Amino acid sequence: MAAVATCGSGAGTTGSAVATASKSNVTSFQRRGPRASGTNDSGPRLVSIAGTRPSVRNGQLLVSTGLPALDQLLGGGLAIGTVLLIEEDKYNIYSPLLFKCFLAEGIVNGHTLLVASAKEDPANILQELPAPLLDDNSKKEFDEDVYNHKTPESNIKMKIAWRYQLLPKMEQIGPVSSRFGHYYDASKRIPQELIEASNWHGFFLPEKISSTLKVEPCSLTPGYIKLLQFIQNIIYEEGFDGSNPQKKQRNVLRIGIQNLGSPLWGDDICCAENGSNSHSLTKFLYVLRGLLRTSLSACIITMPTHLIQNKTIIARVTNLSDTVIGLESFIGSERETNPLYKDYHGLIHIRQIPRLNNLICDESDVKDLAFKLKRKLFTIEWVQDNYLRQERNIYPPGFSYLLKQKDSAWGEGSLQHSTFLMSFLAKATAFASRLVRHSEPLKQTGSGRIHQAAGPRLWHDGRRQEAPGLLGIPP
Amino acid sequence: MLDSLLSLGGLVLLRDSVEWEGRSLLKALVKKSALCGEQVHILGCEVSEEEFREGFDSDINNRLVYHDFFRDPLNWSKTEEALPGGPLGALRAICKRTDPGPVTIALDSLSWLLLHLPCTTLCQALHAVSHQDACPGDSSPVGKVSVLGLLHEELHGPGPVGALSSLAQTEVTLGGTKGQASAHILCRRPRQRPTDQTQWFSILPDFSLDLQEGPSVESQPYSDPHIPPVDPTTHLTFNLHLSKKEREAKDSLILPFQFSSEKQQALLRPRPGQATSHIFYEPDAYDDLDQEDPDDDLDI
Repeated sequence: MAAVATCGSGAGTTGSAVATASKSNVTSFQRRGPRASGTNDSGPRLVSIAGTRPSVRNGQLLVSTGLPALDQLLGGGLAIGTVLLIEEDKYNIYSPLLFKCFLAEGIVNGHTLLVASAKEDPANILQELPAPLLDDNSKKEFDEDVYNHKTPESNIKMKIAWRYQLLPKMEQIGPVSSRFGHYYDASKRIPQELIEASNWHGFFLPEKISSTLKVEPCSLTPGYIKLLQFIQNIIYEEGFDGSNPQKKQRNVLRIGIQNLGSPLWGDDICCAENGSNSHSLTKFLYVLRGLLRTSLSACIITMPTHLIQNKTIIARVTNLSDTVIGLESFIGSERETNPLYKDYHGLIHIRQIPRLNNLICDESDVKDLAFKLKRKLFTIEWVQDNYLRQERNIYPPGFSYLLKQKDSAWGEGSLQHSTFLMSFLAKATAFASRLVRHSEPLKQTGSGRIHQAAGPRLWHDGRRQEAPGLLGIPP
Repeated sequence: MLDSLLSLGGLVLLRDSVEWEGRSLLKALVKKSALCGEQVHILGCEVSEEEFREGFDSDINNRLVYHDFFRDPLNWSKTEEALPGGPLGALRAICKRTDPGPVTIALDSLSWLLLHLPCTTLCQALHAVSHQDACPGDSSPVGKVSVLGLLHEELHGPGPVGALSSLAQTEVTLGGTKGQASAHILCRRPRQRPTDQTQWFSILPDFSLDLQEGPSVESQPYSDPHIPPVDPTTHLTFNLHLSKKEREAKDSLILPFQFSSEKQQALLRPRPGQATSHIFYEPDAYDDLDQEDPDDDLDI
């Protein structure tokens, strides 16, 4: 305080007055008293809305997508204010399940729902939502269901690659917080009382639009215009954008739009390559994103991209959405008979993850993700888990990287595979005899070079001696 | 399966081509549903009414309700019996009927409608018609509606065909070999895997369906013995196979990093006389076992 007084006198009389005034209090900062939760303060404290949590990486507010495995792949969940686009699989069997899990998560957390569809009545969609697994009894049978299919393989313990058993599995079946991310039983329907207790709005296109044969030449298809107006009305009336101060606790709006871009919405991008309204969908997504960014809402859209004739539209749609996931089912394709994929029903491709207030995004380094729909469960796994479990050979880390490449010439049984393996083994046996003495684990990189951990053989003639790479010629 | 196509309801797409025409199959299915007692409406756009009714006996001809759009598609003659709204108006009028009972609507053909109407409008109308029985809240229970659409595949690009097949409940693609027609039936049930099946058939002169077994196996051109897959291990300079003894030796070998129970015990058991951990090192040919610390030369 004395130092302040001396500076203050240098600045003038006002400075010293301030200094004397502040001397009476110990500090000019006052601590806010503890407030009861639920009051609507716009202070610096984080508003806690049910079913949301802040991201550990960049502080964005996240909601769960309904599948905890998918949440993990997206970096914790779906950020509020963003769009999750799901590219449907060819026969539209698995994408409705993801759509419904998203909506069911909203009902379980008490969020408001907005369901828009041109194909099915939203009331019917809500009747078919999967039931949540909430109590411990169902959790136990869930665990058994997951582990049952694993017991035949886990009996064959891995002898050589046993360290891979220590890797965490994709599904975190352990303690799942009851407020974020629930598991759903695909074989049961959601209880009727949960639907009735929830607040939902439906948009069914055939009801909202009068059946006229003429199509007005307009930049946006009339169906899209009506949907945007509907969403805007709901956001405004229920105060998700902060315009009407909400008296109750603030809530999140979950929007679900099914089959966007199909001809049933009046959009002809699936029918013709250069239609009259080819910019209609992209403009819709642009306006929708503007509505979402200014409100507490998250949106899921399923789109039949396999029907879109003009590929540039798909690229534009991907850029206009935030998170894009593609589902590819094996039905009818030649991968159905591939032994690598025998346990799975399809592949999941994570095409884009947004960079929200960030320079980098949370791209997971696992590229081969597959899903399977058991009777009750929808699980997502890394394909190589299946491969490693079988453990047919000693695979150096560089080699398994080559195997992971799509359509690789290094598949099992190919000539490259066998010759490489032999030459690798010839070098590795000589190598391994030296490595036995160091009991520290080796850092293994994807390119096949084995970097030795720090050992006593450093500083020989002034430079660190590295292990020769597998593909390099030793001097 | 071909004879129970109409029992599922919804849109049934008959895709034909120049080599394997589908109108006779369409007429056979129409005859079958007329004989079952269903109401049958026909939207004739591509061929004249006389040509369509040819081959049916009078009993069936009396049951068919024919809407003719071939003679005067744009309604230039302005007669009262022309239905307003064109073919789609006729479709909607059929849907607004009040009497219950299953209805079969045959569209001859969808290709004509696709060429004259925008694809999206047609898709929306077909969806509204074929899913009418699913909407609840109607005062009168409306029967099942089946829509049979004949689509000529070669007239359209992949866009409209893909859009219509994604709407269709059942898709029948006509093909065949050597004079025998086959129908490849793809059935999409709402939330289940699609099932597909190939059925060989022929149409008799009175338009009844004759299901047959496929042609004899010897005549199929794809039944040659397979070229055996190339075995990569044949011309190698080293041996990749293991004999039985070698395999046993391999299985019994304890690998260096294998975490067996003996090793676990060895690690857990406290060694006599050693409290700290050890590093085992065998010096190499290149190693310099100089005990001096090079940092001693530094002068700080």
